[in-house]
This record gives sequence, C-alpha cells and structure tokens, in this order.
Amino acid sequence: MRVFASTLAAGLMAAGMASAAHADTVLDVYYAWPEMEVIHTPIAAAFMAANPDVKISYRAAAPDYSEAAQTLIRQSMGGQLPDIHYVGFNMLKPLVTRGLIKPIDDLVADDDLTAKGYSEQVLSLAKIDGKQYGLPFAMSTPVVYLNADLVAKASGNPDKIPTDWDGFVALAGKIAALGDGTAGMYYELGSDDWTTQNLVRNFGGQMMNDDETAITFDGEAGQKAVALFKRFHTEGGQPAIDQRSARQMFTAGKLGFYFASAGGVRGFEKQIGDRFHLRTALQPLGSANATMPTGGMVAVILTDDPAKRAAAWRFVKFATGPEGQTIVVPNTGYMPTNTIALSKDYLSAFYEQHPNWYTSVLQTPRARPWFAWPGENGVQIAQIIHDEMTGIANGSTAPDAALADMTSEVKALLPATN
Amino acid sequence: MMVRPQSRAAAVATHGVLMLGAAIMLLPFLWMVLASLTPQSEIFSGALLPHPSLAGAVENYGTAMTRIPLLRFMVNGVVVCLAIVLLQIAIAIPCGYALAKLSFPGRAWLMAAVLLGLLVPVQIPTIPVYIALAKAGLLDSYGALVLPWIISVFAIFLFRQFFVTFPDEILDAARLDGFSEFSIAWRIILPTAWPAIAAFSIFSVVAHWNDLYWPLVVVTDPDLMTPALGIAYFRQLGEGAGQVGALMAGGVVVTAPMVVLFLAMQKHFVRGLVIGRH
Amino acid sequence: MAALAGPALSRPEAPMPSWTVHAAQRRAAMALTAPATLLLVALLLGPAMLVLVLSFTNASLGLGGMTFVGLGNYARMLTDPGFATSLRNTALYVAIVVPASIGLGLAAAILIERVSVFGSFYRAAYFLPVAATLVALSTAWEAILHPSFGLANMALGLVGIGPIRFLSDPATALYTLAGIGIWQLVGFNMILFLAGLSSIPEELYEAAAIDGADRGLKRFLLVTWPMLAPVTLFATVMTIIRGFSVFETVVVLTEGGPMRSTTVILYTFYEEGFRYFRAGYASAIAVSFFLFVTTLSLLQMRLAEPRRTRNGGAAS
Repeated sequence: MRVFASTLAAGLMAAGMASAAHADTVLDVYYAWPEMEVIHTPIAAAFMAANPDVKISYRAAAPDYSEAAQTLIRQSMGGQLPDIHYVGFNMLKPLVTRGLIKPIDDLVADDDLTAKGYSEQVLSLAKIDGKQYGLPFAMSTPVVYLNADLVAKASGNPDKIPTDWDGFVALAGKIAALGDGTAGMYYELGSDDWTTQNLVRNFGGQMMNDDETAITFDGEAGQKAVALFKRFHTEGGQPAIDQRSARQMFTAGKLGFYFASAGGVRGFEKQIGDRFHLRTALQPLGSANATMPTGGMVAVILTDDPAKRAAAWRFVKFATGPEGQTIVVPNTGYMPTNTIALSKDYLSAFYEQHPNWYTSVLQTPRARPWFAWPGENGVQIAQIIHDEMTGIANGSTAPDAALADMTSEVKALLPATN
Repeated sequence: MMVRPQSRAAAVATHGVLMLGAAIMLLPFLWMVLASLTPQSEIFSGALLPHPSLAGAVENYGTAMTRIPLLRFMVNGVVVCLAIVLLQIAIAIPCGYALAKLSFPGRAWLMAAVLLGLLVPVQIPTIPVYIALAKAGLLDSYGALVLPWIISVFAIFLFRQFFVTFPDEILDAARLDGFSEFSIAWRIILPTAWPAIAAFSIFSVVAHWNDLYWPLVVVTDPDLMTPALGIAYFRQLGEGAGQVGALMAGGVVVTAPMVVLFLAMQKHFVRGLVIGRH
Repeated sequence: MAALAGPALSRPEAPMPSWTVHAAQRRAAMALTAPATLLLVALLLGPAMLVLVLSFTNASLGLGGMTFVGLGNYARMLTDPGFATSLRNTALYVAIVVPASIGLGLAAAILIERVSVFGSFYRAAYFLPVAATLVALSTAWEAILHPSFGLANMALGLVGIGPIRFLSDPATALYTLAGIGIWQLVGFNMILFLAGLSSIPEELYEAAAIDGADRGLKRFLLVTWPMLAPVTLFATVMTIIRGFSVFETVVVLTEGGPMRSTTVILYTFYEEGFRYFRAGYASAIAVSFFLFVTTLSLLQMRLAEPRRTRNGGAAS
C-alpha cells in the first residue's frame, strides 16, 4: 500500500508538474513490462522536477522485451517511433541491425562517463562492434526465491539451501512430499529464452560459438540442462502448469522454490506480504565454469532531432545515474548499473537491510551478456525453444529428443551463412 | 409456438435443466463480481467462491481506478463505438435504400460486392489497411480505431432486406408530392427503420466495445485504449499474479455497460432478428 | 442475422414502374450509394485484393522492397509444421464449437419456449456471455480453471476427480478454449432459434397433431426442425465464421501454448504478420482462411438446400 501511495503521489506530482511548468521539449518514452511503471513514473517526476524544460511522456508499456521490439519495428514504418526506449539486452542487436537504433558515440565522447560511475563492464553490455548504442538501465540474473516456511517444514535450512543440483532437487522433492497441494519448485521459462540460456550456461555452455557460426547448445552442457529441467518435474515436484498459475501458487504459499529474474523481488514481497517468509538464494551451479545471462535493459535514444536528442541524453543519464538507480533498485530488485549508486550516499545502507536484494549482486562475477540470435528470427527462435522446453515439462517429449528438435528448428531459422 | 400444458414432473425437469445451464452461464460473471469485492490476499484461500467485503471492494476498485486510466478506457470505448456505429448507419442506410428500391446501373454488381463482402472475415484486409495507416502516420489515433470499420456490408445488407418490404405505393406517392430520393431515404424510410437500426447498433457496439484484435494492432498509447485492450493491458501489470481482484474490478466496470445495454435493448434486439422473415 | 436466412433474397425485385426510372432517380441512386461503394472498395475489397497480391510476394512489414515469389508462400504453408498444427487446432475447435453451440442453443430455445415462468431470466442469462467483454470474462474463467486452487478443480476434487490442468496441459488446453467458445456462443444461437420458433405458425402444429404427431420427437421432426431450417443454416454459417475467428481467448489465456496446442489460424496469421513481420506469408494464410470459411459456408448452404426447397413454401 505504501508503494502504491507513493506511486500515486508521484503520478499526481507528474500530472501537476506537466500543467504547471511550461515544457519546451516533450520526450516520448517507451518501455517493456507494465509493472515497471513503479519505477518509471517516479523517475520521470524526479527528472522533470530538476529539468522543468523537459516533459517526459510514457507510452503504454509493452508486455515484454520482444513485443516491445516488434511494436517499435511496426511504428518505424510510419515514423512514429518514440524518442527513448528501454530495450531488452536480447533485443538490442536485432534493432541495431534493422537500423532503428543508432550509435551515441558522439554524445559519449563529449561526456565523462567514467567519472559519472559507468564502468567499462557495464557499458560493454550496450556495445556492438565497438560502438556504444545506449546506457544500461537495469541488470539482473536469475535467482532462487524460496518459501522459507516450507523449506523449514521439509527439514531444510532456509539460510543454506543446497548449492548443487542434486541436493537442491532432493529438497524440492521433500517440499512437494509435504502434501496439501504443495508443489516443490517452479523453474520459470518466461516469455523468451533467457532462463533456458541460463540453464545451458549453468553447465558452462553457450547457445552458439563465439563467432556465431554454429549452434553449441546441443552439446554436453545443453544435454545436461534439458536433463536437469526434466528432473525438476520428475524429482523436484515442479508442476507442469503455466507461469501465471505457478506464480499464484508461489505467492499463495503453496510452492517451495521459484526461479525468476532478481528484478521481481519487490513485486514478490508486495504480493506475498506476511503470508510467509520470502528469501532469495544463489542458484545452484552445475559446473565450476558456470555463467549466467544478464537480463535487463538499455536506455537508447531513437530520435534524430538535435534538440530532443540533447534532452534525451540528459534524461538517459539521469535514469541510469545514481538518482534514477536509487529508484530502480529498491522498487524492483534489479542491480544498479552505476557504481556511484552503490555508495554510502545512495544504496549501500539499503542493501544491508535487504539481503534479498543482494543475492543477484553476489552472482555478478558469473554474469555474461544475454545472447542475441543473429538474423531476423530471434523472436521465433526463442518461441521454439520455449515450446520444446514445455514439451519436456509436460512429459510429451524426451529431453534428448526435444534438444534435437530445437537444434534442427533453430538451425533452419538462422541466417543462411551460418 | 403454443404453450401446452405440461405435467408437473416435466416442468420441474425443464426448469432443472435450464437452471443448471443458467448457473454455468452466469458462473464466470458471479466469480468476477465476487472476486472484485474480495481482498487480494483472500481470493485463492481455498474457499469455493471468494468472500466479498467492503474493504476488498475499496482495495480492488481503488487499485483498478488508479493503476490504469479505467475511466479513460470507458470514454474511448464510447467515442470509438459511437463514431463507428453512427458512420456505419449513415453510410449504409442510403445505400440499403437504393439497393432495395431504386434501379440504377451497376446495382447488381454492388449487390454482389456486398454479398462478397459478407463472406470476407474482417481480419483479412487488416495487413494492407495497417500498412496504409502506418504510412499515413495514423497509428495510435482514434482514426485508426474507427476508420477501417465505418463500412459495414452487414448493415447495408440488413437495411436492404428491411427496406425491400416497404410499400412502393407510399414511395410513389411521396415522389408525386415532389420528395427527392434523399428526402425519401431520410424522412420517410429512416423513421420506419428503427427496429433494424436498434438491432444493428447493439451488434456493432458490442462487437467493437469487446474487440481486442484491432486495438491490439494499432494502439500502444494507454490514453487511446478501448475497454477490451485496456483490460488485456491491466492483466499484464504486476504480472497479473497479485492483481486478480483489481483486474476483476476492471472487468466488472467494462462489462457492465454491455450487459446493461443488452438487457435494456433485449426486445429491440429480438425484434431486429425477425427482420426479413415475414 | 436472421435476415440472411429469410426468403427475402430470392424474392423477386420490387416492381418498378417504368416512369419512375428516369435520369434523376438514377443520379440520386448513384449519390446515395457512392459513399458506401467508395468505402467498400477502399476498405474492404481493395485491401482484400491487395492481400491476394501480397500473398504471392515475400513482403516484410517494416522493410521496403519485395519480390514476387509465385506460389512460394502457399508451397511453404503445405510444409510448415506450424501452419499444419494451427490448421488442425482450428478444425478441431470449429468441429467442437459449431455443433455443440448450435445443439445447446436449440435445446435452450425449445425449453425456454415451454416454460411459463422465468423465461426472460433464462433468456438473459444465456445471452449475457455474448454481450460480455471476453477479455475480462476469460480471466474469470482462468481463475475458475486454475490448476490447483480453481473452483472447477475444487469441485472435481469433491467427487474424487482431478486435478485437471485445464489450460496448462497440451492435451486439454484446446478443449478448454472450445468450452469457453461454446459458453460464449450458445446464447447467440438460442436467440436466433427463439426468433425462429416464434415465427412457426400455430396451424402447422395443429395440422401435425391431426396426423398424430402431437408431441415429442415426432412433432419436432415433422414441424419444428424443418421450419427452423433457414435459421439453422444462418446460425451454422455465423457460428462457423465465429469459430474460425477465435482469437481473444487464445491471446489472453494461452498465447498459442502450451506447446502450440492452441495456435489457431487467426492467431498464426497475427503472429506471422504482426510479430514476425512476414506480410507475404501472413497474406497467404489470410487467403486460405477466407477460402476455408467460404467453402464451409457454401457447403453448408448446399447441404441445406434440399431441405429448404422441400419446406420452403411454408416458410414465408
């Protein structure tokens, strides 16, 4: 209720400001995930308070990253692109390839981003072929959300859940055995292939080789990944149900472990309230060289108009800077993209008080870019991978068969040169 | 049909079957209303039906009103549906009258085109229409929501069927009195067409109020969303999981006008259905 | 609407005295029909023709330039497993929803005609789903059908069945959507049949009674069913079109999943055209969509034809 009230207040503030101040430049901003309104509205309000000459106007949020990219492509036909977009890491490259997003190297050159807290590692997430296309705005890795009450009931230790998959799946199985409609775990497939990439990376694998000429997810790591996903269902008590229903089960206290983006901590806490003790934990690892795909988004500037571009650059720096990031992190669970935001003045105290938020930060050494498929068919490839994984979940396809199907279908959709 | 005396047992059985059917028909409505009045934390609490409370109502309707521009969706729905139905009628009535009562070159062709149009599912032409709207920079506008629908072959056909039976003697008398074909269409024919207009209007308004396909394609601005798209959008807020009560509150608000409209216009609707069956 | 089913189409044109057919009336007619004609071409027939043209190209939404690929898109459709699945799902959906919603609509209409009280309540109750916003009601259905704590599974649990993962199980998801489709369409058909029943002349029943068909099935087969033929035809054609056009429930509840088990032709068209931007391929799907609907409708009219002529005389 408090967040709701503050959102409302920020919204009213924004509305009041819009009518009170005469804004010279209006910036149209488009983002994915409607629930992220809880950060976007206050960021705009704070920015406009400090920059009365600019008005931020949000378009309706897209349901997810790929839908957002598709909407942009459609809008580009009639020249109705927004001025600024928060593009998912996986969608940056396809949109750059299509020519919708242009480099911002000129803006970067006139600025001292290093002094403003942007590390080279973070900036590289929005770099393609040596060109900078935007500033990362939010980052996350998949974490384990756990119902500490159920874990304890199944005689596990909520503070120390197993770090190996065998132990983890066994504990999930014990939770499922508690009865009363309780499910052990749920590994979310999401709306794209992010969490599937995560499983492959967990065993040290990758989707394609480094120069993107050949599929590699059908190798040993991929085989272990699909086999493990099958075990989630056969031994870990994962119900083969859709994600919405599973989230409802988890928030209702009927599910032990839930794998999802760290960006959802705040949302889960809000929905769960004091129904049970929510904790987050590191993902178990299947290999010493396990990595994780970095989820999240990049703020990119789409407008060509010089005046708007300058204003947009100010806004993008604000949103990705310490002030913006101190709104993003507590309201979501994302990791900050700006090192200054981690300092004592901003978030360090918050992290001390909220360990659930810190899990993802602990995973950063293993974080790698979210792999984007070459060519035009990335969205459909992600869909195919999703469908085949669902086949494993439902027991209608054996893991090896699903992996083979996936490989041949994805191959057919990759650019012919590969 | 004659209502014949039934045995008591037969009457009870009939009512039993009909009541069971009605219960299934109304179940989702009942659930929607109850859930809209139940605090979020109690909706999936293991009870068969949600338990409403005042606090729940305040929480859910409050959330629905503030998280999304619900009233704006409603206004958009009214504007879009009214614009569509008025234009459809204004364009279809003269055409239906001419097809029914006037002879002119190309009439057979036009009638054939209308019948052909009846067979084309409404989604077929959407790709070219979409491209045209995009090129014209009209996406995300009332125009994009309204324009593609202002021609209704169904309306033309319906009015033509309705007017065919209009007595020619009256028309001839009017012509002798110096009425032009326009004034005949608008001043003599139109007033008799209310049953058809009412029946068609209900169909049109219900269809466009509830349509998800087209708004989903052309609108991304929440200020322009129609009720159905608005609810689909609301579903995604908060990943849906935590918002069922508020979502249902939104559902009640957007569904209620159509339900009321139908209940109020039920008679016209049924009468309209009999048109053309004399 | 029932207008379609009525005999008016075959009615001879109204007599037109020759003296009225003069230039002025002709001009007036042209003016009266001009807006409709223009819009019909601009918004419906023209775009439909364009779709046909696009279907022979590799046009991509948002990218300029396209080349003629002949029947390439149609050939691809034949080999595309995604399209085959979508077609199968649609056919199954239509095959369930059309007969069930017509049968139940007819049954409801006949029963409602027989009751002396509550008639208007039943009528309203059965019709409400037709008027309701499906997007909102779908969400209510989703909650009722929740795999673990939905009302449906709790009720089934009481009698020892379940739980059924209605929308999450590829084996049941399409049937679940079909159930919701039937729920939505029964009322529409019921209203059509009620209108049809009310227009059956009483004398026919009296005549049938003299022949010994005074009740039950005999009476239904001899009088009611033949007399309802035009309405049945219209209801069937309308329900086929509605069935083929199923979209909302798929978008809202399953997004074609799980495992493509609920992709239907219109959803595939939307996905190919507006998500994958394959305007050419999507157009080919649209053309075949049109052909399916038209063929089925015409076939239905053809099948109904003998029945109509046999009893047609009594219908007016």
